[in-house]
Amino acid sequence: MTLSLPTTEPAARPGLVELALVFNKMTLASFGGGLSAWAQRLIVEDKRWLSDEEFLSAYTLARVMPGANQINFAIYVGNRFQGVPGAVAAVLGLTGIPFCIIVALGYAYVHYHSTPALQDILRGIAAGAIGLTFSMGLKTGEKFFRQPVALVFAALAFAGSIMLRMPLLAVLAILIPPAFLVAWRRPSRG
Amino acid sequence: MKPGILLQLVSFFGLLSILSVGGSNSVVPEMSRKAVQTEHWLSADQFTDLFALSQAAPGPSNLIVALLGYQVAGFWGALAAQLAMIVPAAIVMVLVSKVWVSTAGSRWHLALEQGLTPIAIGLIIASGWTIAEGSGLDIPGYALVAACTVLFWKTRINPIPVLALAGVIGWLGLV
Repeated sequence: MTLSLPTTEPAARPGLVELALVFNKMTLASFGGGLSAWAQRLIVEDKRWLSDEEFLSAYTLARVMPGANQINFAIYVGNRFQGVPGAVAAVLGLTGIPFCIIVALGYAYVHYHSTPALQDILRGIAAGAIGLTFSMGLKTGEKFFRQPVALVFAALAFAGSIMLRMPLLAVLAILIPPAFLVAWRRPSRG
Repeated sequence: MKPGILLQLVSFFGLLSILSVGGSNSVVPEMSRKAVQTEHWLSADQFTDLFALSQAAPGPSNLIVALLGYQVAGFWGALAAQLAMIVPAAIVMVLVSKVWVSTAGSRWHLALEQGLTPIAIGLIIASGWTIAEGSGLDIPGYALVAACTVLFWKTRINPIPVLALAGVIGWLGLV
């Protein structure tokens, strides 16, 4: 069982090279999907650069702002520790090698067609990556299992997104104001 | 290669970059309309293939942009389109991150962070659900999803060998 320690400061302040290397590792690990789950695993569990709370709020910020979620998250983490150069290093680490891979795939696509065996393999990997994504939600969420109010907000966000097919911005616009007010009236930290 | 086509790629994807609120997948329909219907850069089937390819490949979710650029203008098209898709939104995110980090510890920041946390968890579960719905998995496939979920949740096992094993299971035709 993983204890989520309320660490407000990371063990060590990562430099530019380490930022690029960790985001590169994250991006290469995410073959078949699940990049956000890898982000939680590497940045929060392994490196302890961010607490669970800061990770989740930064993750949501990254989703709300325009641009790819993972790139926005890399910008947040890079900027948090090394300013704009850190953001550039993290984005280069995240996108550099995948960009080369995708260009090679684009070249291959022009010349070959995807084989059935490859699609079978990718389907298996996708099943694992979906499990990784669910586990990330459960790991970061299990401390709320005994907090009814938090569970209600998590359930409403899920229901709005899946059952009502609402756009992300609509879900957030409806849920953030009441969630903010509840947390504002009942400060549980600090 | 014509500079005109690069300029066209940069202006189109640069605009989409700012419009891609909620993630780059939200502007994929707009990309399809432009690339397939307006400009005839490629067919609808080709667009679907490139989208699947970009989703399976490692890396951020907007790599389909590089594939479209490659299809239109080769390597430099891929590079120009990808940079145009990243840079404008990145500038906005840097500015917002600076505000967010500099207000850490204030009461409204803590309340917002605490309020966002359960919502983010609900959305993470929802994103896994969405991928699962679109994956075409059958009952054994969902059993594999469930097994991996519990394994990753309850242990700190390195996911890479597990995902490789899942790939082998798929290759054997078991899911």
